[in-house]
Amino acid sequence: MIRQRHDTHPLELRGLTVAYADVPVLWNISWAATPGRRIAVVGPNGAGKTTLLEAALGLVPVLAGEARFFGQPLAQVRDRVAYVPQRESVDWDFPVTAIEVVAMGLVAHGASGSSAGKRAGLQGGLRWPRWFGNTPREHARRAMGALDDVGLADLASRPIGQLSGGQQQRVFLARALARDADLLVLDEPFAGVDTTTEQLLLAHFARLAEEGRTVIAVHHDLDAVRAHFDEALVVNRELIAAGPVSEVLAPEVLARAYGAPLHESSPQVDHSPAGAR
Amino acid sequence: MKDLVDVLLLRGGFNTTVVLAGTTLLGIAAGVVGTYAMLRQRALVADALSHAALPGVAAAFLVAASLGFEGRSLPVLLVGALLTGLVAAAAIEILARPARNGRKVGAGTDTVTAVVLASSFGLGTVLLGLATRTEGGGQAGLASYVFGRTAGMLVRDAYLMALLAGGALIAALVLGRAFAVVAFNERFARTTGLPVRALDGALAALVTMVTLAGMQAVGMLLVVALSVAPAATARLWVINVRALTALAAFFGALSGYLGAALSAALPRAPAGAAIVLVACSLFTFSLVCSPSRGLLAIAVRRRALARGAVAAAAGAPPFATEGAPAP
Repeated sequence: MIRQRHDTHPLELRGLTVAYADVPVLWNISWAATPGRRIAVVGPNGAGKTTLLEAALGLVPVLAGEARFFGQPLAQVRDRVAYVPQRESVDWDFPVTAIEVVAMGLVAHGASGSSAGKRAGLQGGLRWPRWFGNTPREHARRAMGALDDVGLADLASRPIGQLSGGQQQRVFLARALARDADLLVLDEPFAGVDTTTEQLLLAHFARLAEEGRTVIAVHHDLDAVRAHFDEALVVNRELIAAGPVSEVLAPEVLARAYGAPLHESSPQVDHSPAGAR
Repeated sequence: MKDLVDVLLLRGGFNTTVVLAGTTLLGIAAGVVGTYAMLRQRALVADALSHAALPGVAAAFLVAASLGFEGRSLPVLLVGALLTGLVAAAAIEILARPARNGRKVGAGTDTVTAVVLASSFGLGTVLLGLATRTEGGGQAGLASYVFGRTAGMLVRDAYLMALLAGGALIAALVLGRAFAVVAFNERFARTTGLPVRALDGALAALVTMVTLAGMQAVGMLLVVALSVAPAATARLWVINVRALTALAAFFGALSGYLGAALSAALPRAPAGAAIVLVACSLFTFSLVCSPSRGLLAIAVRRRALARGAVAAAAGAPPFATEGAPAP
């Protein structure tokens, strides 16, 4: 299904600056995502790619600047955004099954502002968060559908600790898909997964973009980015370049990002204009 | 032995029966609340909150006595314990900053929790010393809150304990699904709009309620074991949150019931210690004997695996039954 999604930028960063305690990590990032594109965030280790996503999503405090989603603060449009954190960020020994993890994506669904709740198209008027009791039937149905989409319907009642790394990543993708969001933000979804899962992720990204949704993913493999993404955002503490992969992943740009890394803990803020293309 | 059977069959007299029912309900509440505290990795915080109750009890007694009120009344003491518990929880929450990006900022949660735990208990001991020296303080039995004492428990107090435990139990069940989502993946939960801080605060409040409920029967030093042990025991047997909650409630109830009965039948055994010993025995038994995660089962399976490997290296097919011909 193709919906009207061209209203505004799915994500817009305005002078985003982040520091951990007194160490600056990201400096003055301004950028806007085009709807319906697959966008890779690339850069060397420690460039602040994860921090960029986390700061935009409000998971780490921002020192200056702001992030807007569909022209609004995230709190107004949470149901249009789905986040897939790094697989290592959770304890996979946690006592839940695959289907329960996917249904967790819907626990607060429809509670973040009336327009988003209506737009999410939940039947039965599930406007209030269901925090208690069993998984509501509607949530269970959507969760099962999402698990089926990632090819794990057979393993729905398997404890997550018994899944392989690739299957765990697919459960995380299903949790995001169940939210039926217009923007997916994924942190290193390809890290440590098998080929099957990699192909499945890429196929889903292509489908999502075709539907007019936007995918933003941190990725390390530049060849794969060239082949399977539309745009790239090259960061190394500051924004090095952004635009179509064919232009942005050029040798001279990459040399600036990877070849001459900025100093370990203090970005040089005044040498090149941020946002240079 | 006959005494124990009488008590277990609720024939130990009205007072004993009320206490028994109270500690059983306390066990259920502690098991359920403790499950979520364990999943959220807040067991040590629960310990700090229970230690923080001591200065609250002593200070409430001192303040009430100086204002001319009856300092010994349980509700007054509980309010004091509640206030210091909240202060301790807030102190941990504000002072602890988790490590980010490999860089430690300030001190870690475990360090801060340990400091809050020790300092609040130290403060409590000082205040308790002052309180016992004031008029009436010696007979107030404040020190019994440290280790617990069911013998002097009034039926009225047992009802208050049941009320607190029941309230914590209901609240934990209502918020259970949200607690589980936050415990599994806090960052994801925050992006979906769940009020993570408020939920953490609610969990701390429930832990405090259980602590207050168990203060008189079990004692503030041991009540944390009743929150931790049943949940940890259940974790060794089941692999989903709902079953975990139910089983932890069962183990908690069993501990509260058996422990209180033992202590009633053997007058010199303090109830708190008996309850906690039952809870910890259940844990130890499960740790060794659980078929899936137990140490014994794992050792047996590992040995079988090793035998298979040796056989394979010797040319026999792996996992062959004894006497099977080698190819």
